[in-house]
Amino acid sequence: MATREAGKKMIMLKSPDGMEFEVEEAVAMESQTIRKMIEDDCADTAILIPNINSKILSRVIEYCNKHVPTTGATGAAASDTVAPAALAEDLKIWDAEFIKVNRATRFNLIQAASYLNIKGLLDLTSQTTIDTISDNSLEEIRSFLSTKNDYLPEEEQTIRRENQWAFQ
Amino acid sequence: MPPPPATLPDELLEEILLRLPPDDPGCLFRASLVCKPWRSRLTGPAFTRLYREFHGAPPLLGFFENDETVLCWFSPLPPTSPFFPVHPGKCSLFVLDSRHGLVLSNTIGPDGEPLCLIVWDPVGHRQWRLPLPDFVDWPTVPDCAAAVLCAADGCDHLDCPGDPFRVVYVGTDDDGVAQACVYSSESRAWSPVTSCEHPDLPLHVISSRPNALVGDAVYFLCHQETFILQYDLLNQELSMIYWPPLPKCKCDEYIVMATEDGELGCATLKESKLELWSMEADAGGAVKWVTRRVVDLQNLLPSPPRFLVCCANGVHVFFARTDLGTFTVELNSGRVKKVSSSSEVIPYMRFYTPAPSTMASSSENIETAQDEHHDQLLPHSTGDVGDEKEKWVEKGEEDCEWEDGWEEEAEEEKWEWEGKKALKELFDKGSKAIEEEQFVHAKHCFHDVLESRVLYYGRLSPMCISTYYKYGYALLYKAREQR
Repeated sequence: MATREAGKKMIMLKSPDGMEFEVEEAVAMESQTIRKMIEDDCADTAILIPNINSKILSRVIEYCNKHVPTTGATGAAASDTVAPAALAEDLKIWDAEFIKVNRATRFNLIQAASYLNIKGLLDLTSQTTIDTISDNSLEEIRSFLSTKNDYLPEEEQTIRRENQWAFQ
Repeated sequence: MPPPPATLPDELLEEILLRLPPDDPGCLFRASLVCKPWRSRLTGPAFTRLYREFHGAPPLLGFFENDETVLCWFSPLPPTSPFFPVHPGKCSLFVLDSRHGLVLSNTIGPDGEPLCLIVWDPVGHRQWRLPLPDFVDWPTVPDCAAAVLCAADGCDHLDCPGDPFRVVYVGTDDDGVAQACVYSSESRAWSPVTSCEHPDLPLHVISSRPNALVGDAVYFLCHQETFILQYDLLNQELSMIYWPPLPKCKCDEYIVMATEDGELGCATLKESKLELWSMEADAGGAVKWVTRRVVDLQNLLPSPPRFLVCCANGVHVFFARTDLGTFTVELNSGRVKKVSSSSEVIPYMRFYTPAPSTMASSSENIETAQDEHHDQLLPHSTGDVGDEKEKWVEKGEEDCEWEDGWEEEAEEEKWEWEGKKALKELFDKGSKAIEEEQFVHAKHCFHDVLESRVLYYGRLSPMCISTYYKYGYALLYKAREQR
C-alpha cells in the first residue's frame, strides 16, 4: 500500500506517443486502474498508459484534477468557504463545458474512461452520448455512430407499424 | 485531424446503451431499430438484466385512476407509452393495488358490490380471475383492502415473472372484527381465514389508502390512530400492532410505506411540509416516530397540498392532492407535474424492454430470439401481420395448458369482437330511436354504449366522440320534451 501522507507525492504517467505527465498521486488515483497499480506497488517510476494518446490523456488528467475530492491535503483549487451545493453546481457547469468536444474526441474519452476505470468520466461521456441519441432520429443516430442500417425497408416498416406507440 | 473511429467497441456501446432512460420505454424500442446487431443486443437477456440492475428500481410508467363514472383508467406518464388506456375485463373495474408489475382490481356489480378479483399483468398480456374470499359477504363486510405481490423464489423484483403471485385480502365487518386470508396462484386457493379484534374498539380497515409490503408482512391502515393491521405472509396470521400516534395527524391523512432501509415508515403532510417518518425504539424499548426527511412543497406546487395520495419508486415520487388536482412530486429533483384531477390514483411501475418477438418484423426469421417465452409467438406471426389481436388469441391457445391467464385472455378477446358488434347494434338502435323521437329510449341506449366505450377506449378517446354527441343530443331533446 502506498503511503497515505502522500499529499504531494507525484506520479509520472506516460502516453504511448512518448509524452510524460507528472500528476499528484491523488489525482491519478481517480482512475481505479491506476489506483490498483499504485496499491499493488507496480508504480515505482512511471506508468505507461497504452492506447491513450497524449491529447486525450491530458484531457483525462484535466478532468481528474477538477474532480479529485477537495477534502484531503491535495491542494486542489477549492476554498473552504464554498458550500458543497454551490461546488457541485460549479462542477456541473465545468463538466458541461468539458464535454463540448467533437465526436472522435468524445469516443476516445469514453474508451479512456473505460480503460482507466474513471466512473465519473464514463458516466459523463456516456450520458452525453445517450442524450444525443435519445433526441435524434434514427438516421442521425446511425450517422453519429457510423452504424449501417441493415434492415430492409419493409422490415423496418413492419416493426414501426407493430410498435407504433414508440415512434409517436 | 485524426480520422474518427469507425465505431465504438461493443462493450462500450453497451455501456452507453445502458443509459437509455427507462422512464421513456420508447427509447429502447427506437434504438432497437438502428440496426440488427443493436436489436439483438438490446433484446437479449444479458443486456436486459444489466439494464435493470443499472437502473435499480423500476420506473413509474403511469398510474391507474379510479373514477366514479369511468371506474378504471390508465394514464401514461412518459412521452411514449406501451400501454393504451384500456382495462382487461368486460365489466366495471376498481383498481385496488399494484405491485411488482401486477395490477389487482375488483370487478363491480351494478349495485357497487364486488364480484371477483382480477390480477392483471399488462406487460405479459395475462390475467387471472380469482373468486373473492368466502368471508367477503357484501354488504356486511363493507370495508376491504387488498394487496398483490410477486411470489417468485429469490426474485429481486426488478423484473418479476408475474406468476406466481399472492393476493392478501383484509376485510372488517360491521362488528369491527378484521379477517384476512392470502391467495396463492400456485395452489389456486385462499388460505384459511384468520381474524383479529380489539377488546374494546371496532376495527375498520381503510379501503382507499395504500398498503405497504415490508419484509414478509403487508400493513393496512385502520380508522384508529394507534394501531395498524399486519398480515404475516409466512405464518398467514393477521394481527394488530400498536404504534404511537403521529403528532397532529389523523390516520387517514398519512400513507404507510416501506422506507429506503426496508423498514416500516410513513409519510405525512403538515401544512405544506412533506415529512418522512420511521419508527425507532428508545433505550427503554418504547417505540416512537422519528422524522427522517422534510421537504417543503410550498414553493414547488402551484396550490397548497391537501393530502398525500400515494408514493411510488421506493419513496422518490409522491402523488399529492391540491385544489388544482393531483400532482407528482419528485423528491430528488424537486420536479412537479399535474397528472390527474382524480384523487384515487394507483401508480404502476415496471421496466418495459423490447422482447425479441416484438422487435422482429413478421416476415423475418430471427435467430436472435433467446427468450423462450416470447419465441412461442413467432410461428404464429407469419400470417396476418397487422392483426395484434389475432396473435393474442393464438398465444392464449398455445399456453393455456400451463397458464390460466392465457385462457382468460383468449376468452376476453372473443368477447371483444362480439362486444363490439353488440355495441354497434345498440348504437344503431339509439340512432333509430332519435329519428323516431323516442328520446328516453335513445338516452338509455347511448348511456350503455358510452359506458362500455369509455371503459374500453378511455374517456378522451376519439372513438367515443360520436357516442358523446348522440348521448348529449338525446339528453337535450328528452329534457325539452319533458318541459
